[in-house]
Amino acid sequence: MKCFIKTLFVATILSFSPFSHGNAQGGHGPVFTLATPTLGQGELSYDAMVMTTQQDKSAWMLRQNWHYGLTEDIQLNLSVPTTLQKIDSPPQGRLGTMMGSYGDLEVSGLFRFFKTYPGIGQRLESTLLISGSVPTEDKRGGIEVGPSLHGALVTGYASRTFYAWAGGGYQYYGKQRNDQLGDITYITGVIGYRPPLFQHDYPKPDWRIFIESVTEWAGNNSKNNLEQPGTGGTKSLLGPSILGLYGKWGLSAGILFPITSISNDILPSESFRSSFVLSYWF
Amino acid sequence: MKIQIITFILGILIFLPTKTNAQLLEVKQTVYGMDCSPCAHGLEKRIKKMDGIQSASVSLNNGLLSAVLNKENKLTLEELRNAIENSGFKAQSADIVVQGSLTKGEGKSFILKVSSGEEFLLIADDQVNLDNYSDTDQLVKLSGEAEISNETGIRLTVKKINRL
Repeated sequence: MKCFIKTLFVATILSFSPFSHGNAQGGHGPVFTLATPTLGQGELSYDAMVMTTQQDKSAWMLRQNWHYGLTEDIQLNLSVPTTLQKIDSPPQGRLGTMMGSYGDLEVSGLFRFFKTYPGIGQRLESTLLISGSVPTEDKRGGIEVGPSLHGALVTGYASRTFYAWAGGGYQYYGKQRNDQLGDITYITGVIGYRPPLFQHDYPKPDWRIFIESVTEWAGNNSKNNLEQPGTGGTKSLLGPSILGLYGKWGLSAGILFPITSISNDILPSESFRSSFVLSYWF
Repeated sequence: MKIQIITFILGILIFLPTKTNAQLLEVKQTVYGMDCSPCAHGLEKRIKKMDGIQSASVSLNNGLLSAVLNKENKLTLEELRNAIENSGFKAQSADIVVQGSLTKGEGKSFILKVSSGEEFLLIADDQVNLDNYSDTDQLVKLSGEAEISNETGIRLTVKKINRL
């Protein structure tokens, strides 16, 4: 409990620091899943988020994400993790699909290559995400961690009432001193709804709810060039999140629970993932 | 003698024809694609920074950017629409109030010229007869609907027109 309060305090203070401005996953919507964010040309935003996952024990992480709109269709992102509480073998997977895996510092580019505007308040768009990461720790679950490359594709619809995105991605970890983390393939889907009660005009408060789902296939790790069977696995997670926006401020939170898990027998299964995000736009 | 010369020069300057007061005055621009608060915030902030803007506000539910421009501004509707595109949204038609110099174009067409260099190809709606303003280079103030810009320029359907 003390640890949780301390973590929340640190995250809150950092989110108000002069170096912080933010945007849940760099965009308008879900906490964990792929979406198609929009940031105008020359605009800058930043997130401060506290994330936790439980796999027997709890791991806590702070993430700070910077987003810059190079053009209205190209966005550059930097995601910096700070481990607040480690566990020996964190779950494989991208805790937030657009921000890097557990303990990885990630730089990414988003390219919105397709967009169309069916009407007032509506967008239909598709985005390509490419990123590279370096680990901020030497080992993860006893495996030397190398840099990684990641690519994802997402398409979706945004409007004043309904939201929906679907996408998938792949992350490949390079070898590090004869060790290699298993690769990660994933698909995500999310639907969102802004109730009429919250369809107030700008700048009144704006809230919406999402149901998010992630399915991950994690490959086996290799140690000393030998594959370690049973270290990978497949899991599907599902859960709600909310996003509140007021002027230049945003607040979001969400939790995912595993609904299926065909995983190894070596590690305890993941109990949940949750995240709390404070955002501010310049 | 000196006083007479100065008076003569001042007289010429006062009565020299100028192209003052030819500009965009108000814009209610329909915008597609804005779904939430940061969209509106970003666009409103970008528009307010533009030279010539007196006030601007954004409505998400109506998909509308409303802007009032300063007197003697040099802002064009095209620049406003480019700013909307740079924010990641799409400009549609706009209701505008503009004053400029009305001239006859090819055939029976009329063109409104604004001091910023922007030109509007005028189309009269049922209530307006542009032939009544067929005197060369009339300074007029009009309101109407400006269509989406294309290669040939901006077509403006005139709903109301007054001589200045």
